[in-house]
Amino acid sequence: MLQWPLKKLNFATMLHKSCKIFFGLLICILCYENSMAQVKHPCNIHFEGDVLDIETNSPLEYTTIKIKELNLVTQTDFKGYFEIKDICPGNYTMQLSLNGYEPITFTIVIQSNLHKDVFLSRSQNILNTIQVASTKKTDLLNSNSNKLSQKDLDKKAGENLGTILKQLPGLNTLNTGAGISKPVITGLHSIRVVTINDGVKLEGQQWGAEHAPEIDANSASIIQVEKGAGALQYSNEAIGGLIIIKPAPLRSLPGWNASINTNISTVNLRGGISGMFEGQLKKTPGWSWRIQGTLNKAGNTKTPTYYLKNTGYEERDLNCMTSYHKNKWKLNASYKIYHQHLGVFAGAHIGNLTDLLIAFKSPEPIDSDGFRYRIKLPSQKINHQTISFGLTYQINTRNKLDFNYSFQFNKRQEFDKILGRDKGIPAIEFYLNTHGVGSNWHFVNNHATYVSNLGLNGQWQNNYYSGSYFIPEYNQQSIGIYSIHKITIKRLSVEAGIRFDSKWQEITRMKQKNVHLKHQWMGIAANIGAIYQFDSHLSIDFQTGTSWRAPHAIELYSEGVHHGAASFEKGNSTLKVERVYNVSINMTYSQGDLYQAQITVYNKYIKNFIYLQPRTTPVLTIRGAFPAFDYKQTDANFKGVDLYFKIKLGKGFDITEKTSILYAKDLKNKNYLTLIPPNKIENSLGYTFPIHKKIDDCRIGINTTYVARQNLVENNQDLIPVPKAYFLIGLEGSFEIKTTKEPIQIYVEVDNLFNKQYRDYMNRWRYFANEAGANFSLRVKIPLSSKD
Amino acid sequence: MQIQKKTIKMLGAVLSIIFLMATLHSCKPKDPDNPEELITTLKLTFSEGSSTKVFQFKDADGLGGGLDGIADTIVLDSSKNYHLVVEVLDESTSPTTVVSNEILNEGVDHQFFFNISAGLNLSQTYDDADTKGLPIGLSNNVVTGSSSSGTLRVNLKHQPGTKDGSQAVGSSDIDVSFYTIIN
Repeated sequence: MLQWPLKKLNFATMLHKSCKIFFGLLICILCYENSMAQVKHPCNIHFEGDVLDIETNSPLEYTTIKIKELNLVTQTDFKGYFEIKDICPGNYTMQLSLNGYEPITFTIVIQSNLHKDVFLSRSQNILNTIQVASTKKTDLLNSNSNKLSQKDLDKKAGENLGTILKQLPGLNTLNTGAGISKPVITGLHSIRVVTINDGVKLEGQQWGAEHAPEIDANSASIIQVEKGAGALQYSNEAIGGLIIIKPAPLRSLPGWNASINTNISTVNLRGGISGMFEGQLKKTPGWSWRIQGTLNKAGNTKTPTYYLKNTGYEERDLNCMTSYHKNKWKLNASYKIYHQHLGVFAGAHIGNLTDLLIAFKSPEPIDSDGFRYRIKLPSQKINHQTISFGLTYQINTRNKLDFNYSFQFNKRQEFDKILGRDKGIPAIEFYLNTHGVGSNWHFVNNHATYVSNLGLNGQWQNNYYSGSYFIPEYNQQSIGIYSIHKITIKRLSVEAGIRFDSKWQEITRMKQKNVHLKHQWMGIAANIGAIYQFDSHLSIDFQTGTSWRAPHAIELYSEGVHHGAASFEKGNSTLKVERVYNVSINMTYSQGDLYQAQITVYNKYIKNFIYLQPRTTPVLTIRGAFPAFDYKQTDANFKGVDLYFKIKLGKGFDITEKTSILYAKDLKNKNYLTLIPPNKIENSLGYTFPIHKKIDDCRIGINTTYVARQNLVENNQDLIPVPKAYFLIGLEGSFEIKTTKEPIQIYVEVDNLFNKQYRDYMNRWRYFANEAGANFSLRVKIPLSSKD
Repeated sequence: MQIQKKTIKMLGAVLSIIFLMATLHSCKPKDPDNPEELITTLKLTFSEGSSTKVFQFKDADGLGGGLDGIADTIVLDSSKNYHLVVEVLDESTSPTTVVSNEILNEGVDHQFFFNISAGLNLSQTYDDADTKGLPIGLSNNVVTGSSSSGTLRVNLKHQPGTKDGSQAVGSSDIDVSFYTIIN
């Protein structure tokens, strides 16, 4: 067994140490401030701009910008935007650097407020020109994907991936209590949502609605949802959507950076710490590395009136990345380990239908407890490890080749006290090993009006189980080839892609017996999208496409009682391929930072939609009666509208509004589908104000969430009535403490301010218990040091 | 150049160690034949003097199987004092595993509950106790009244740390209803 060394560290000591460091730093800053001579001059010039790729016009995030005279270092954000406030008129030497790009240095004369766009060219470019333009370029390329920036991620540090993604318009989560949440895109989740983490397609036990994505959200710097042709580069299986998670690029210049992210929450007394250390030695230019680790520990969650017994969890993650860049070659390697141990809520771990009905009738869970961190049976342990290697060869300005290999090991153990089994032996274990290879040829023409990606992905996978039967053992191979092209003609940008996949599966063991059942599927996925930019404010994006997925082994051959769900599920080996046809229109209107409005309308028609149909009679076992479900296929339709706008009202006030509406129907049976997110409206009002010279971006806000009752359900479709609509109020606050280098960021948040008792339709525990009560969270991000 | 070569070598070494560690790390279950634990049979033995009557519920393929279990009809004589012994077996193994031994060992976490439908003239009292003095229900006294019929539900609750004599607590390890006739 691999043992992560940090395991031995006492958590409390860690927290204590980080607090010490934090307060120590705070004192240092205050001392530093007092010792500074307070010279006053009219230095209030605002200098900003965008850094863009000279070929593709795409924004370049994390470009390091240095202004020699000011001894100032900053970075561009995810939109390639940078700003420097309160500087004096004068001549400045600017130095820009980014991994993979030619560093540039130039002098700039600043007399008044200024916006400059800077274009960088890729390393080894023959045309080593520098262009400085002063017109604002709008990004034509990425309008049908939604992104979360580093700041959005910092704001929710310590939360799981689903909760972080919920910040995006139209995104929902399917929860199992407070600890597990799965992203829901356009009403679809689990195996219909593909996650790409640092270029590797996540292969975990994603078939389970209570199995969270095995990802340390703290390692990410950008999370985006890709709905256009770009998704075809990774997979054909993204029926719901594709989530791309990217860590920040490694350092491009010698020096080192470090940061510590800490967070606490009161509702489950969660403490989390995440540290990052990265660098590049002067002796070994081109070789960069980073180590990032996360520890999270939470106890029983408190609802307004009681604690949820055995709902604590622990998470330990480690991410190591390194890259070596020389001439036209770039080699990178990474190793990631994700480890989670979590308790299964005692009140939801039900023996059979009779127990279930008793639990429903009880206003509070019968099995209750106070607060504790200790995780007891039933519990689950998840271990996910990823190794990946990548090689990039930049042939010339226009052509680039990429090769990659990855290996993923996933282990999921479910512990339960079963009669006849020793303690400490899991009731059921799942093992999934995945090898992946891929190659890509990226081409871009001289004026970046034509970009193409051609490539292939291959995958070898085997799945094992031990203990009770639920999902068969299988070997699976797949290969996919794709071709994606983008042409930009003046204001119109058209992107089209096509992908062919073939998948072979052999079921080798089922219900403790060796078998040889073979399946093969193949199919084509395609997407075409067009973006038209009317002017600098308004753009329209139209996307249409089709994609497919082979039925999962669980849908074909599962047979047994789902752990903790008190339901008997039976697979269907005659299931056919599920195919989606989608159309979406997105209209975006923006006026810089002042006004942003976005409306997305979509329709998804899914042929042979795989779902669980309840049987009329329960299955009778020695453990009692269990509601039984069979995997069936139908045709389904999902349509929805997502609205988003943000306005700066002036005098420091801002308003944000998000609405999502979704309507889903089973077309064959003329029924509504289950577990479709109800309609939701979120609003927030913020006020940004200056408070002190050393404190920046001080903002306080109030937010409201209204979730409607899901009325689109059939009678008798569910065991208990659908929860009522609810309305929550929350508070948020944030500020930055200026330091000579990067600022210290502080976020404060109160969720469910009035400690309201409610249940959410998208929480699998809604049958048994209320949602979490009032929760206060504090998050502090400290950049420890950064020097060259 | 020397340094760079060294670095590459070092990088290579580190990567291969990581790779090795990951490959060596058991990618397969340690015990692939870790058998599934089944409870196939609930056996009720009613004895009165020298006569014994045995009734059972049998679900040959266990919980994971798709087949329904089959319960015998319990037929008892009226106005008798029976001693009832409850046995839980796994008959899918050879020899048969007696699961009730474990229930006895972990008596503080388990209790059988007997729910008698209205109209069935039958009463049950416990004839055993765990180390804390609460009943387990593997051994019982059953008294029958006049001729009648109804259902007898046998429910084994797993109540780790919460056993207090209440049936509402915990999860059901066994829950079987027998149609019962008293002649």
